[in-house]
Amino acid sequence: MPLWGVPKSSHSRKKIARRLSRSQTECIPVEIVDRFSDGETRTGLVLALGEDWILLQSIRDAGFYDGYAILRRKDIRRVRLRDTFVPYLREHREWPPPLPAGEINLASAATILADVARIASVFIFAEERRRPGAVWLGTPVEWDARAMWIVMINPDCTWEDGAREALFTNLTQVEFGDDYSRAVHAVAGPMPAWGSEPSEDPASE
Amino acid sequence: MGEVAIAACHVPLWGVKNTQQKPSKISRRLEQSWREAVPVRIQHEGAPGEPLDGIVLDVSAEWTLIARLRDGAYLDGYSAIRTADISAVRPDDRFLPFLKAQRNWPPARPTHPIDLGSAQGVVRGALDNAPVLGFYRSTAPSGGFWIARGIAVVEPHWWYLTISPEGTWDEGDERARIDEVSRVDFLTDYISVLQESAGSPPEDSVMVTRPAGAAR
Repeated sequence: MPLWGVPKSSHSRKKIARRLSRSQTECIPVEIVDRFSDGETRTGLVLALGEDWILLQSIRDAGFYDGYAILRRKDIRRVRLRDTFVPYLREHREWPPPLPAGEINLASAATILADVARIASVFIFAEERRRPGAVWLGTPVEWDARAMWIVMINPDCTWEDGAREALFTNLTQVEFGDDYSRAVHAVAGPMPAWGSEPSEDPASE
Repeated sequence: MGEVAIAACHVPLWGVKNTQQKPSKISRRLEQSWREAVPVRIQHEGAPGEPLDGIVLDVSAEWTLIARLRDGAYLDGYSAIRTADISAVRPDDRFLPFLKAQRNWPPARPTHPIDLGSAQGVVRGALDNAPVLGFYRSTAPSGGFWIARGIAVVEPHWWYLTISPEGTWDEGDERARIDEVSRVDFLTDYISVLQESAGSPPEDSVMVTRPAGAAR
Protein backbone atom coordinates (compact mmCIF):
# COMPACT_ATOMS: atom_id res chain seq x y z
CA MET A 1 0.00 0.00 0.00
CA PRO A 2 2.27 2.88 1.01
CA LEU A 3 4.81 3.86 -1.60
CA TRP A 4 6.89 5.83 0.87
CA GLY A 5 8.23 3.00 3.03
CA VAL A 6 11.28 2.14 0.95
CA PRO A 7 13.97 0.60 3.18
CA LYS A 8 17.06 2.72 3.61
CA SER A 9 20.05 2.75 5.91
CA SER A 10 19.51 2.92 9.65
CA HIS A 11 19.14 6.17 11.52
CA SER A 12 21.66 6.91 14.25
CA ARG A 13 20.70 5.92 17.78
CA LYS A 14 20.68 9.62 18.65
CA LYS A 15 18.25 10.53 15.90
CA ILE A 16 16.00 7.62 16.80
CA ALA A 17 15.97 8.66 20.46
CA ARG A 18 15.24 12.30 19.58
CA ARG A 19 12.35 11.44 17.31
CA LEU A 20 10.78 8.94 19.69
CA SER A 21 10.95 11.53 22.39
CA ARG A 22 9.34 14.20 20.18
CA SER A 23 6.58 11.75 19.29
CA GLN A 24 5.79 11.41 22.97
CA THR A 25 6.13 15.01 24.08
CA GLU A 26 4.62 16.69 21.02
CA CYS A 27 2.07 14.02 20.09
CA ILE A 28 3.38 13.39 16.60
CA PRO A 29 2.80 9.93 15.13
CA VAL A 30 5.86 8.04 13.93
CA GLU A 31 6.52 5.46 11.27
CA ILE A 32 8.91 2.88 12.59
CA VAL A 33 10.97 0.38 10.64
CA ASP A 34 12.58 -2.32 12.74
CA ARG A 35 15.27 -4.73 11.75
CA PHE A 36 12.87 -7.62 11.33
CA SER A 37 10.15 -5.98 9.32
CA ASP A 38 11.72 -6.08 5.87
CA GLY A 39 11.15 -2.40 5.29
CA GLU A 40 7.49 -2.51 6.26
CA THR A 41 6.54 0.34 8.54
CA ARG A 42 4.52 0.36 11.73
CA THR A 43 2.64 3.54 12.56
CA GLY A 44 1.97 4.69 16.07
CA LEU A 45 2.29 7.34 18.68
CA VAL A 46 4.85 6.99 21.47
CA LEU A 47 3.06 6.92 24.83
CA ALA A 48 5.97 5.93 27.05
CA LEU A 49 9.72 5.59 26.68
CA GLY A 50 11.76 3.22 28.76
CA GLU A 51 15.47 2.69 28.58
CA ASP A 52 15.14 -0.45 26.50
CA TRP A 53 11.47 -0.55 25.47
CA ILE A 54 8.82 1.81 24.14
CA LEU A 55 5.05 1.79 24.37
CA LEU A 56 3.13 2.82 21.26
CA GLN A 57 -0.48 3.51 20.47
CA SER A 58 -0.80 1.52 17.24
CA ILE A 59 -2.44 3.32 14.36
CA ARG A 60 -3.79 1.45 11.34
CA ASP A 61 -4.96 2.77 8.00
CA ALA A 62 -3.60 6.23 8.82
CA GLY A 63 -6.45 7.17 11.16
CA PHE A 64 -7.69 4.33 13.36
CA TYR A 65 -6.37 3.21 16.75
CA ASP A 66 -5.60 -0.49 16.93
CA GLY A 67 -4.39 -1.36 20.39
CA TYR A 68 -0.93 -0.97 21.87
CA ALA A 69 2.50 -2.21 20.91
CA ILE A 70 5.66 -2.53 22.98
CA LEU A 71 8.89 -2.63 21.00
CA ARG A 72 12.52 -3.10 21.85
CA ARG A 73 14.48 0.09 21.22
CA LYS A 74 17.54 -1.71 19.97
CA ASP A 75 15.55 -3.31 17.15
CA ILE A 76 14.36 0.03 15.79
CA ARG A 77 16.25 1.06 12.68
CA ARG A 78 14.39 4.08 11.39
CA VAL A 79 11.87 6.54 12.79
CA ARG A 80 10.02 9.13 10.80
CA LEU A 81 7.84 11.77 12.41
CA ARG A 82 4.66 12.18 10.44
CA ASP A 83 2.00 14.67 11.48
CA THR A 84 0.01 14.32 8.25
CA PHE A 85 -3.06 12.77 9.82
CA VAL A 86 -3.01 14.55 13.17
CA PRO A 87 -5.84 16.89 12.11
CA TYR A 88 -7.92 13.85 11.18
CA LEU A 89 -7.14 12.11 14.47
CA ARG A 90 -7.94 15.25 16.46
CA GLU A 91 -11.27 15.57 14.79
CA HIS A 92 -12.35 11.94 14.76
CA ARG A 93 -10.65 10.22 17.69
CA GLU A 94 -9.82 10.81 21.29
CA TRP A 95 -6.72 13.00 21.16
CA PRO A 96 -4.24 12.49 22.52
CA PRO A 97 -5.05 8.78 22.58
CA PRO A 98 -5.91 7.22 25.93
CA LEU A 99 -3.27 5.35 27.88
CA PRO A 100 -3.71 1.61 28.50
CA ALA A 101 -6.06 0.64 31.30
CA GLY A 102 -3.17 0.11 33.71
CA GLU A 103 0.40 1.18 34.15
CA ILE A 104 3.11 -0.74 32.31
CA ASN A 105 6.59 -0.87 33.76
CA LEU A 106 8.91 -0.83 30.76
CA ALA A 107 11.97 -1.78 32.80
CA SER A 108 12.30 -5.31 31.46
CA ALA A 109 10.55 -8.03 29.49
CA ALA A 110 9.47 -9.57 32.78
CA THR A 111 7.85 -6.42 34.16
CA ILE A 112 6.22 -5.66 30.81
CA LEU A 113 4.67 -9.10 30.47
CA ALA A 114 3.49 -9.11 34.07
CA ASP A 115 1.78 -5.73 33.64
CA VAL A 116 0.31 -6.52 30.24
CA ALA A 117 -1.08 -9.76 31.63
CA ARG A 118 -2.92 -7.73 34.28
CA ILE A 119 -4.45 -5.39 31.70
CA ALA A 120 -5.23 -7.70 28.79
CA SER A 121 -6.79 -11.14 28.90
CA VAL A 122 -4.73 -12.18 25.89
CA PHE A 123 -1.73 -10.63 24.20
CA ILE A 124 0.42 -11.10 21.15
CA PHE A 125 4.15 -11.57 21.44
CA ALA A 126 7.03 -12.13 19.08
CA GLU A 127 10.49 -13.63 19.31
CA GLU A 128 11.78 -12.23 16.08
CA ARG A 129 15.43 -13.03 16.55
CA ARG A 130 14.42 -16.67 16.62
CA ARG A 131 11.36 -16.59 14.39
CA PRO A 132 11.12 -13.54 12.21
CA GLY A 133 7.62 -12.90 10.97
CA ALA A 134 5.86 -15.15 13.50
CA VAL A 135 3.73 -14.05 16.41
CA TRP A 136 1.96 -15.94 19.17
CA LEU A 137 -1.16 -15.14 21.04
CA GLY A 138 -2.05 -16.31 24.47
CA THR A 139 -2.42 -15.75 28.16
CA PRO A 140 0.18 -16.49 30.85
CA VAL A 141 -0.56 -18.95 33.63
CA GLU A 142 2.70 -19.16 35.51
CA TRP A 143 6.02 -17.40 35.62
CA ASP A 144 9.36 -17.40 37.33
CA ALA A 145 12.45 -15.19 37.11
CA ARG A 146 13.36 -16.13 33.57
CA ALA A 147 10.28 -17.36 31.77
CA MET A 148 6.56 -17.36 31.48
CA TRP A 149 4.27 -20.28 30.72
CA ILE A 150 1.66 -19.22 28.25
CA VAL A 151 -1.46 -21.01 27.09
CA MET A 152 -1.69 -20.26 23.39
CA ILE A 153 -4.58 -19.72 21.07
CA ASN A 154 -3.87 -21.48 17.80
CA PRO A 155 -4.26 -19.72 14.46
CA ASP A 156 -7.54 -21.64 14.05
CA CYS A 157 -8.84 -19.80 17.12
CA THR A 158 -8.83 -22.78 19.51
CA TRP A 159 -7.02 -22.91 22.83
CA GLU A 160 -4.02 -25.18 22.85
CA ASP A 161 -3.73 -27.92 25.43
CA GLY A 162 -1.11 -27.11 28.02
CA ALA A 163 1.19 -24.16 28.36
CA ARG A 164 4.41 -23.35 26.57
CA GLU A 165 7.47 -21.79 28.05
CA ALA A 166 8.50 -18.40 26.68
CA LEU A 167 11.86 -17.06 27.87
CA PHE A 168 11.90 -13.36 28.70
CA THR A 169 15.24 -13.02 26.98
CA ASN A 170 13.72 -14.02 23.64
CA LEU A 171 10.96 -11.43 23.71
CA THR A 172 11.10 -8.70 21.06
CA GLN A 173 7.53 -7.39 20.79
CA VAL A 174 4.22 -7.36 22.62
CA GLU A 175 0.84 -6.19 21.38
CA PHE A 176 -2.51 -6.06 23.11
CA GLY A 177 -5.93 -4.52 22.79
CA ASP A 178 -5.72 -4.80 19.00
CA ASP A 179 -8.49 -5.88 16.67
CA TYR A 180 -6.84 -9.12 15.61
CA SER A 181 -6.36 -10.51 19.08
CA ARG A 182 -9.84 -9.33 20.05
CA ALA A 183 -11.35 -11.37 17.20
CA VAL A 184 -9.21 -14.45 17.89
CA HIS A 185 -10.07 -14.32 21.58
CA ALA A 186 -13.76 -13.84 20.86
CA VAL A 187 -13.84 -16.96 18.70
CA ALA A 188 -11.68 -19.03 21.08
CA GLY A 189 -13.79 -18.07 24.09
CA PRO A 190 -12.52 -18.06 27.67
CA MET A 191 -9.45 -20.09 28.45
CA PRO A 192 -10.27 -23.62 29.60
CA ALA A 193 -9.80 -24.17 33.31
CA TRP A 194 -6.14 -24.32 34.20
CA GLY A 195 -5.11 -26.62 37.04
CA SER A 196 -3.20 -25.13 39.92
CA GLU A 197 -0.82 -28.11 40.12
CA PRO A 198 2.61 -27.33 38.73
CA SER A 199 2.97 -28.58 35.19
CA GLU A 200 5.83 -31.04 34.86
CA ASP A 201 6.76 -30.60 31.23
CA PRO A 202 3.99 -28.69 29.50
CA ALA A 203 5.99 -27.71 26.45
CA SER A 204 6.94 -31.23 25.44
CA GLU A 205 5.43 -32.39 22.22
CA MET B 1 12.91 -26.12 26.41
CA GLY B 2 12.59 -22.41 26.08
CA GLU B 3 11.38 -22.93 22.55
CA VAL B 4 7.98 -21.65 21.72
CA ALA B 5 6.79 -24.20 19.22
CA ILE B 6 6.03 -23.04 15.73
CA ALA B 7 2.77 -24.98 15.73
CA ALA B 8 0.83 -22.29 17.54
CA CYS B 9 2.25 -19.36 15.65
CA HIS B 10 0.12 -16.81 13.87
CA VAL B 11 1.85 -16.06 10.62
CA PRO B 12 1.04 -12.69 9.08
CA LEU B 13 -1.48 -12.82 6.26
CA TRP B 14 1.14 -12.57 3.57
CA GLY B 15 2.90 -15.71 4.63
CA VAL B 16 0.86 -17.98 2.39
CA LYS B 17 2.29 -19.93 -0.50
CA ASN B 18 1.92 -18.46 -3.93
CA THR B 19 0.61 -21.35 -5.98
CA GLN B 20 -1.46 -21.53 -9.11
CA GLN B 21 -4.67 -23.46 -8.63
CA LYS B 22 -6.69 -24.98 -11.43
CA PRO B 23 -9.31 -22.62 -12.89
CA SER B 24 -12.04 -25.11 -12.00
CA LYS B 25 -10.99 -25.09 -8.35
CA ILE B 26 -10.79 -21.30 -8.31
CA SER B 27 -14.26 -20.86 -9.74
CA ARG B 28 -15.73 -23.51 -7.46
CA ARG B 29 -14.34 -21.78 -4.38
CA LEU B 30 -15.35 -18.31 -5.53
CA GLU B 31 -18.84 -19.57 -6.08
CA GLN B 32 -18.94 -21.26 -2.69
CA SER B 33 -17.86 -18.02 -1.04
CA TRP B 34 -20.56 -16.15 -2.94
CA ARG B 35 -23.33 -18.67 -2.17
CA GLU B 36 -22.55 -19.37 1.46
CA ALA B 37 -20.79 -16.15 2.51
CA VAL B 38 -17.61 -18.09 3.32
CA PRO B 39 -14.58 -15.85 3.86
CA VAL B 40 -11.75 -16.61 1.46
CA ARG B 41 -8.16 -15.58 1.00
CA ILE B 42 -7.54 -14.68 -2.62
CA GLN B 43 -4.10 -14.67 -4.19
CA HIS B 44 -4.03 -12.55 -7.30
CA GLU B 45 -1.52 -11.26 -9.81
CA GLY B 46 -2.58 -7.67 -9.34
CA ALA B 47 -0.56 -7.55 -6.13
CA PRO B 48 1.41 -10.79 -5.73
CA GLY B 49 2.32 -11.66 -2.18
CA GLU B 50 -0.47 -9.51 -0.83
CA PRO B 51 -3.58 -11.64 -0.77
CA LEU B 52 -7.05 -10.21 -0.30
CA ASP B 53 -9.33 -11.51 2.40
CA GLY B 54 -13.01 -11.20 1.87
CA ILE B 55 -16.35 -12.60 0.88
CA VAL B 56 -17.24 -12.90 -2.77
CA LEU B 57 -20.31 -10.80 -3.57
CA ASP B 58 -20.46 -11.34 -7.32
CA VAL B 59 -18.41 -13.08 -10.01
CA SER B 60 -18.27 -12.73 -13.75
CA ALA B 61 -15.78 -14.18 -16.19
CA GLU B 62 -14.10 -10.76 -16.25
CA TRP B 63 -14.32 -9.28 -12.74
CA THR B 64 -14.95 -10.43 -9.18
CA LEU B 65 -16.42 -8.21 -6.47
CA ILE B 66 -15.30 -8.83 -2.90
CA ALA B 67 -16.46 -7.48 0.45
CA ARG B 68 -13.07 -6.94 2.05
CA LEU B 69 -12.00 -8.21 5.45
CA ARG B 70 -9.11 -6.81 7.43
CA ASP B 71 -7.41 -8.94 10.08
CA GLY B 72 -9.62 -11.70 8.71
CA ALA B 73 -12.46 -10.56 10.90
CA TYR B 74 -13.65 -7.01 10.17
CA LEU B 75 -15.50 -5.79 7.07
CA ASP B 76 -13.58 -3.05 5.34
CA GLY B 77 -15.07 -1.81 2.10
CA TYR B 78 -14.92 -3.45 -1.30
CA SER B 79 -12.46 -4.55 -3.94
CA ALA B 80 -13.06 -5.52 -7.53
CA ILE B 81 -10.32 -7.59 -9.15
CA ARG B 82 -9.91 -9.21 -12.54
CA THR B 83 -11.11 -12.78 -12.34
CA ALA B 84 -8.29 -13.94 -14.63
CA ASP B 85 -5.73 -12.49 -12.20
CA ILE B 86 -6.83 -14.82 -9.43
CA SER B 87 -4.26 -17.57 -8.90
CA ALA B 88 -5.55 -19.22 -5.75
CA VAL B 89 -8.56 -19.15 -3.43
CA ARG B 90 -8.58 -20.66 0.05
CA PRO B 91 -11.60 -20.80 2.32
CA ASP B 92 -10.91 -19.36 5.77
CA ASP B 93 -13.85 -19.77 8.10
CA ARG B 94 -11.93 -19.19 11.35
CA PHE B 95 -13.63 -15.91 12.09
CA LEU B 96 -17.12 -16.81 10.89
CA PRO B 97 -18.56 -16.99 14.43
CA PHE B 98 -17.13 -13.55 15.16
CA LEU B 99 -18.32 -12.10 11.85
CA LYS B 100 -21.80 -13.54 12.27
CA ALA B 101 -22.11 -11.80 15.63
CA GLN B 102 -21.57 -8.39 14.03
CA ARG B 103 -24.42 -6.11 13.08
CA ASN B 104 -23.14 -5.66 9.55
CA TRP B 105 -23.22 -9.39 8.73
CA PRO B 106 -23.71 -10.67 6.09
CA PRO B 107 -21.88 -8.06 4.05
CA ALA B 108 -24.19 -5.90 1.98
CA ARG B 109 -23.69 -5.35 -1.70
CA PRO B 110 -22.70 -1.83 -2.65
CA THR B 111 -25.74 0.47 -2.78
CA HIS B 112 -25.46 0.98 -6.52
CA PRO B 113 -25.05 -2.10 -8.71
CA ILE B 114 -21.73 -2.70 -10.44
CA ASP B 115 -21.43 -4.09 -13.93
CA LEU B 116 -18.64 -6.65 -13.68
CA GLY B 117 -18.49 -7.19 -17.44
CA SER B 118 -15.63 -4.77 -18.06
CA ALA B 119 -13.18 -2.36 -16.44
CA GLN B 120 -15.43 0.45 -17.63
CA GLY B 121 -18.40 -1.02 -15.83
CA VAL B 122 -16.38 -1.56 -12.66
CA VAL B 123 -14.91 1.94 -12.55
CA ARG B 124 -18.24 3.58 -13.33
CA GLY B 125 -20.06 1.41 -10.82
CA ALA B 126 -17.49 2.03 -8.10
CA LEU B 127 -17.72 5.78 -8.73
CA ASP B 128 -21.50 5.56 -8.40
CA ASN B 129 -20.91 4.24 -4.89
CA ALA B 130 -17.99 6.39 -3.82
CA PRO B 131 -16.42 9.50 -5.34
CA VAL B 132 -12.92 8.44 -4.32
CA LEU B 133 -11.40 5.11 -5.37
CA GLY B 134 -8.17 3.26 -4.80
CA PHE B 135 -6.86 1.51 -7.88
CA TYR B 136 -4.00 -0.42 -9.41
CA ARG B 137 -2.95 -0.14 -13.03
CA SER B 138 -1.67 -3.17 -14.87
CA THR B 139 0.84 -1.07 -16.82
CA ALA B 140 2.43 0.40 -13.72
CA PRO B 141 5.28 -1.36 -11.93
CA SER B 142 3.89 -3.60 -9.21
CA GLY B 143 3.02 -1.77 -6.06
CA GLY B 144 1.62 1.18 -7.98
CA PHE B 145 -1.52 2.09 -6.09
CA TRP B 146 -3.37 5.38 -6.40
CA ILE B 147 -6.20 6.98 -4.54
CA ALA B 148 -8.16 9.37 -6.66
CA ARG B 149 -11.42 11.08 -7.28
CA GLY B 150 -13.01 10.24 -10.61
CA ILE B 151 -13.61 13.31 -12.73
CA ALA B 152 -14.86 12.00 -16.04
CA VAL B 153 -15.26 8.73 -17.85
CA VAL B 154 -15.14 9.09 -21.60
CA GLU B 155 -14.30 5.72 -22.99
CA PRO B 156 -11.73 4.45 -23.55
CA HIS B 157 -10.27 6.88 -21.00
CA TRP B 158 -11.03 8.29 -17.62
CA TRP B 159 -9.82 11.39 -15.83
CA TYR B 160 -9.04 11.50 -12.17
CA LEU B 161 -7.46 13.70 -9.54
CA THR B 162 -5.14 11.89 -7.15
CA ILE B 163 -4.76 12.32 -3.41
CA SER B 164 -1.13 12.17 -2.29
CA PRO B 165 0.00 9.90 0.54
CA GLU B 166 0.16 13.15 2.53
CA GLY B 167 -3.61 13.40 2.31
CA THR B 168 -3.70 16.39 -0.04
CA TRP B 169 -5.09 16.84 -3.52
CA ASP B 170 -2.41 16.65 -6.20
CA GLU B 171 -2.34 19.34 -8.81
CA GLY B 172 -3.85 18.66 -12.19
CA ASP B 173 -5.97 15.75 -13.26
CA GLU B 174 -4.62 12.72 -15.05
CA ARG B 175 -5.93 10.69 -17.91
CA ALA B 176 -5.50 6.94 -18.31
CA ARG B 177 -6.99 4.13 -20.32
CA ILE B 178 -9.75 2.67 -18.28
CA ASP B 179 -8.97 -0.91 -19.31
CA GLU B 180 -5.56 -0.58 -17.65
CA VAL B 181 -7.27 -0.63 -14.27
CA SER B 182 -6.56 -4.02 -12.70
CA ARG B 183 -8.12 -3.56 -9.29
CA VAL B 184 -10.47 -1.06 -7.71
CA ASP B 185 -10.96 -0.50 -3.96
CA PHE B 186 -13.68 1.66 -2.48
CA LEU B 187 -15.22 2.53 0.87
CA THR B 188 -12.24 1.14 2.80
CA ASP B 189 -11.05 2.68 6.05
CA TYR B 190 -7.78 3.86 4.53
CA ILE B 191 -9.46 5.59 1.62
CA SER B 192 -11.94 7.24 3.96
CA VAL B 193 -9.12 8.74 6.05
CA LEU B 194 -7.30 10.07 2.99
CA GLN B 195 -10.48 11.45 1.47
CA GLU B 196 -11.49 13.15 4.69
CA SER B 197 -8.00 14.58 5.21
CA ALA B 198 -7.88 15.96 1.69
CA GLY B 199 -11.19 17.76 2.19
CA SER B 200 -13.32 19.14 -0.61
CA PRO B 201 -11.82 18.61 -4.03
CA PRO B 202 -10.87 21.60 -6.14
CA GLU B 203 -13.99 23.03 -7.73
CA ASP B 204 -13.24 22.11 -11.31
CA SER B 205 -12.99 18.40 -10.56
CA VAL B 206 -16.66 17.53 -10.58
CA MET B 207 -17.53 14.02 -11.67
CA VAL B 208 -19.04 13.87 -15.13
CA THR B 209 -19.84 10.59 -16.79
CA ARG B 210 -21.12 10.26 -20.27
CA PRO B 211 -21.15 7.45 -22.77
CA ALA B 212 -18.52 7.35 -25.48
CA GLY B 213 -19.19 9.84 -28.24
CA ALA B 214 -21.94 11.67 -26.39
CA ALA B 215 -21.97 15.43 -26.70
CA ARG B 216 -21.40 17.45 -23.62
